[in-house]
Amino acid sequence: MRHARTTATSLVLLVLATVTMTGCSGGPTSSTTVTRPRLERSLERTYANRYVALSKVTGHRGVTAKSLDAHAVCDKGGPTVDDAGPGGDWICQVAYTDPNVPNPDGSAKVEMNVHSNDCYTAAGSSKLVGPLNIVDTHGHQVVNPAFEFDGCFNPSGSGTPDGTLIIVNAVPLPGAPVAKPALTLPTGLVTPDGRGRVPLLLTCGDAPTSCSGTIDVTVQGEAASKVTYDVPSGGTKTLRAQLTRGQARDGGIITLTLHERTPPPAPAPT
Amino acid sequence: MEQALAVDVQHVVKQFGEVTAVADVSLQVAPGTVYGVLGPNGAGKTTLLRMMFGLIRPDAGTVRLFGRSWADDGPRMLDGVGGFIESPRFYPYLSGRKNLEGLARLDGGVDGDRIDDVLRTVDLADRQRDKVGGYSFGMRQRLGVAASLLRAPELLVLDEPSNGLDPAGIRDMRALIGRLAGEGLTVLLSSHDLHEVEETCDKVTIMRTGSVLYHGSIAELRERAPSSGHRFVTSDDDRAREVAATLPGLRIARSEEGDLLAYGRQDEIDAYVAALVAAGVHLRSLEPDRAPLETLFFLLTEGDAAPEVPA
Amino acid sequence: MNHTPTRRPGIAAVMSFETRKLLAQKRTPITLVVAAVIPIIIAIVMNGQARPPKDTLFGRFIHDSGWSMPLLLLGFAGQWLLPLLTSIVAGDIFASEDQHGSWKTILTRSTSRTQLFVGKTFVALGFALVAYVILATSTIVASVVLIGHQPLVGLNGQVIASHDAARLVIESWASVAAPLLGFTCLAIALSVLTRNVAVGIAAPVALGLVMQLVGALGGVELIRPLLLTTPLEAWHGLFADPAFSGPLVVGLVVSAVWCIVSITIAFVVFRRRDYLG
Repeated sequence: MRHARTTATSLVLLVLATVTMTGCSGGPTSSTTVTRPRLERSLERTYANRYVALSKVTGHRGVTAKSLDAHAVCDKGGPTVDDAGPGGDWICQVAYTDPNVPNPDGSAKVEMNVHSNDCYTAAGSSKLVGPLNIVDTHGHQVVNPAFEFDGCFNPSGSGTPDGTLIIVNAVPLPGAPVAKPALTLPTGLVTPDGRGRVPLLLTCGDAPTSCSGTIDVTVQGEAASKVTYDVPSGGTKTLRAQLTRGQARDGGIITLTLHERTPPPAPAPT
Repeated sequence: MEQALAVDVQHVVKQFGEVTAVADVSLQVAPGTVYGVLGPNGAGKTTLLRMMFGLIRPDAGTVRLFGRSWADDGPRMLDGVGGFIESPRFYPYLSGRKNLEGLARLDGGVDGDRIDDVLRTVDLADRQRDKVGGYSFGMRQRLGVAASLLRAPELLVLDEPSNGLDPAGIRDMRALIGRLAGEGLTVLLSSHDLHEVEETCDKVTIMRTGSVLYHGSIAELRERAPSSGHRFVTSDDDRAREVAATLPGLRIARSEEGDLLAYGRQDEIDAYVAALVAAGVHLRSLEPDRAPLETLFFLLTEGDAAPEVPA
Repeated sequence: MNHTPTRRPGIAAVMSFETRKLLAQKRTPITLVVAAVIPIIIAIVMNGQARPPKDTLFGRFIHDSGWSMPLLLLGFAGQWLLPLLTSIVAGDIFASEDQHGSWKTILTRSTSRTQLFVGKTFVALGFALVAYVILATSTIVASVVLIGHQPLVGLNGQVIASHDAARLVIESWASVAAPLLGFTCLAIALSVLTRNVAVGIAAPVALGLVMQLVGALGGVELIRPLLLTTPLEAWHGLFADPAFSGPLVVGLVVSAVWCIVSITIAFVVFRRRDYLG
């Protein structure tokens, strides 16, 4: 009887202590160890190593982690969510160089499930790395080493962002003409100049007239600047998009949204 | 130098919550005595013994064994002291002998011959390899004595050693205690059984609800005992009770069979008989009910209030 | 007075008796045998599975390297097996005296309460280590024999040569001994406080699961490093490139603090307690 009561009391106290501890620390992602820079630095190493393993399987020679020179930028849950803390809604872009596999997108999208224990599971883009099961140079079916992989990062590693900026494909606005835009936008890794300006190499295809319009520039979903362009048909032009000081320092995913001025109706053939 | 008392308990108090288990008890036992602590269940005997063994701490007062105290000497206080509290407990998954070997280790090591000796003393030599889980109550009680004797004690403290034993077991246990006492051991024995104490002890302390009612020798107690209780069978018990109330000194009780019991000195009993006759109550039968010592014990421990011990 | 001088017993006497008591109870040898056999069975079953258990670290590589199985099991074992492995003795070693009513039997001998406490604690810690070494050895040997000693893929995707992987696997298992002993101390404390064998054995396992659950929640970063389950994963850093050991150091300190606090509370309660049973 006495014992039963003591036991019950101890257990209740333990549960209360646990609940209190949990409750006290219930602040939103307070001082989480899962931060963008840590994730990015870890992912670029892990991705490169797994990509090298994939190149071995597919028989591509000369691919090393160094030659790939992978850089990663991550974003959690879109522009409205803080880029910190565990979760399955981390999306990263990895830019790397592999002459064997041309990548018009300039970077590979990697979906990340990051756990509170500072480890993650990453899923590569099958467009670039192929399916789960692939055939090696000997004709054996093997598991694709870059399709899905695990990694862990140092929770006390540097939390300072390294300023990597990666441009991803422009998103056509809803309701915009479905036709392929005449203007080709840059993709992949870019480096800002000393004044926080990013060069944008614009190429106008064989359009009947010159390509003109505006480009909305956002970094990690946050507006940076608006660029007005006018590129002659079949020509190229490099414009500079101004970033804020913070954006240039911290880096991020640059999204370019194109607003093409509707070209005048083509003259009737004579 | 004067020889230290085997047991010297001074003004010991122990409370459990609201309940006072031991209230200001003092007790001295000279070496070589067989001493009884007598009292009904709940009198505080076991609590007193636990404090002597350091199992519980007194709220006030001191306990010294051979001059050593728990505060000054720690477990050395128990050097030369053996015994058990309530029924002795052992590890059921070990044999009797392995239990003793382990306890001997906790005493700093005892040689195997000594274990053989004590097992023979308590008549368990032929069951020593059996697991204690299969022992009868009496065997465990005897193993408890063996465990106490392992340390070659000068003071043996036994709490209700005959509890749960059959008549033959009780006889053996008393004979064993007698034999040990004969070897010069000091024995402190607690019991709720007057016969046990009367048969084995030189001196006695009688306790009730945590307090001491009597200290002294059995012989002295016997002298102070009132005459026997008497069993009255009358024509009208209610009337007889009323008559008894008019006589100071006489105590009336009801026996388990429902008969009238009267306690008092012989002259008081005589006066009661005369008064009954005078009141017209017919006396059908009158016989002595309890031995004198038992009557005293009954009066001391079972009455509504603790009576004064007749001087 | 012919006072026979009693030889003073030491902690070794308590440990010797406690060890004999442990070995006489079937549960103890059974636990050791299970610790030796279970990893072999798990290794065989896992090896026979067509689909590797990808949801635990190194699970995806079990067919590729014999070094991944011990790490998979280490991650899996921490969840409940390790607390159970130690609490089966540590949660029982004090409370079983209450269960058998035998405190009065041993407290009335020549050993002090301190000696009894220290002796029992050492035996519980010693048993935990012995059982753990058996579990670790069986796991590693069974995996390497069944699968082989191929190079291992690390936690930055790098390839770790077989001999390095062997060293890292052993270091990882060694690092988990710290929280294991932390659980031993916790079980001892629960065993002393509750005087109940069932609580002593089951509560550390339950608390381990609760801590694991709390640790897996988001937004608990402040207490996460303080949980006794966090050091169970500190070895992850050994397999990163570059390797990091911060969590191992923190884990060692956290395990030590859990152990010292638990043991201190248990000791104070044990020393001051009235034994009525």
